[in-house]
Amino acid sequence: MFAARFQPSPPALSADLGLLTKLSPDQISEFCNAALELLQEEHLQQPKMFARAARQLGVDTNVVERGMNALCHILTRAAALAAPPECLVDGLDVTLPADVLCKLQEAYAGAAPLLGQLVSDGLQLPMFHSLEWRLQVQLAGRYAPMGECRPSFLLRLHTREGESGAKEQTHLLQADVSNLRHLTSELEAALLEEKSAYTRRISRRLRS
Amino acid sequence: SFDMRFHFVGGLDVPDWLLSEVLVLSKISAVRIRILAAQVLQQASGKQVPPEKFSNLLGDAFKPDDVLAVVAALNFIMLSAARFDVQDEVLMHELQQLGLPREHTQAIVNVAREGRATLQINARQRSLQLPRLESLQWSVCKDTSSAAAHAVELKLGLKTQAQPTSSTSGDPHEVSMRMSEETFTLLHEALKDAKEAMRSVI
Repeated sequence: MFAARFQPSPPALSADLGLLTKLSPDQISEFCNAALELLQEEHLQQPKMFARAARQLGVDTNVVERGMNALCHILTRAAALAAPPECLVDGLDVTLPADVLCKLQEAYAGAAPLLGQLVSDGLQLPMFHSLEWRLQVQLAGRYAPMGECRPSFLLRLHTREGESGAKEQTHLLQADVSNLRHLTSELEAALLEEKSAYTRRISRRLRS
Repeated sequence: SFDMRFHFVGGLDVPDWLLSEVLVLSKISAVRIRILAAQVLQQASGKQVPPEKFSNLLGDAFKPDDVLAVVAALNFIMLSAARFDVQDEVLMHELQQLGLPREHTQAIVNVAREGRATLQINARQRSLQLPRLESLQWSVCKDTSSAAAHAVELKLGLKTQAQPTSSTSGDPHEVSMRMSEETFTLLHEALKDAKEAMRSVI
C-alpha cells in the first residue's frame, strides 16, 4: 500500500539531516518547498538544483542531495503513517535542534493534504469522465453497396488523468449495434459482480 | 417498480434514481419547486447560476449532494420533455403517475413549457457532432512550365463542437491541402456522387 516513492530508511539519516542544522529558518522553509516539488515531479532537474544549492551553502553537492532525500523520506514516511505533525520524527533515530524540528513540522502540516495524496495514489490511470453518443445510419458511401442502411453508434469518450483531473483526453469511437449490445451486457455483468457474495466477503474483510 | 412506458422519457422506463428523487421533490413546497425549476432552466440555457442560489432555497436540511440531486431531477424532467416534444397534458399526467403532487407538477410543467424551445435548441447543439465545415477557400495554381503540373489548393475552415466537459468553446481551425489535377478530379467526382446520393434519399 506504500507508494513507489516510499523508500526504505536511508542509512545515516541523522548525519544527512545535519545539513539542516546549518541552515537559517528561511532556508529551511525553502529546502522543504524544494523537497515537496521534488516529490511531485520526480523527473525534475535534480543535478542542477542540487549544484546551485550546494554552491550557495558552501557544501558538497552530494551532501545537499542526501539531505534532500532524507527530508523527503521523513515527510513521506510520516504521511504514509498518517502521523500528526508532533510525531513527525517519532520512531526515527534522529536528533534535531528544536527550532529546525519546529520548522519541519510546520512544513509538514502545511503540505499534509498534498503528501496524503502522493502516498495514496500508486499508479495514475485515466479515469472515465463522460460519454456522449449518437445513433446514426449510413445511407450511402463511396464504396457502400446500394440500398443498404447500416446503423452504428458514434461515441465520444472523455477521460481525465492526474491530480484534480489535469490531463483531459477525448476519444472518438464507432461501434456497430451488436458490439455495443455486447459491451453493455458485459458492463452490466461487471456491476452485478459487485453485489456477489464473493465480493461482499472481501469488502467485509477489508473494512474490518 | 414501474414497468410502464413513459412518453416523457421517450417511451422507455423511468430511471430508478428519478423515482426516488420524486419523493424528495414532493416534500419541498410547490412555490420553491417553481423557483428552482426556473433557475434550473436558466442554467440549462447556458447562463451561469451560482450554486448558492439553489442551496439557499433548499435550506440547511439539504446537503450539497442532495441539492445536486434535486437540480439533476428537475433538469432531467424538463430536458427530457423538451427532447421528446411531450405535450403539457401528457407531462402533467405522467409526473403525477410517478407520485408528484398536482401543484408541483403544474409548476414544473409551466416552466418546462416556457423553456421548451430554448431547451430544444440547446439539446441540438449539445448532440454529438463531428467537426463541421464552416468555410471553404480554393485556388488553382497553374504550372507554366512544360510539366503543366497544375494543382488545386483548398483551405477548409472547421468548427468543432463546444465540449461539455471543458470550458473552452469550439475553436475553429483550418485544414489546408494541395492536390494534383487528377486527384482533384477524383475528389470532385466523388463529391458529385455523394450529392446525388443525398438527393435520392431526401
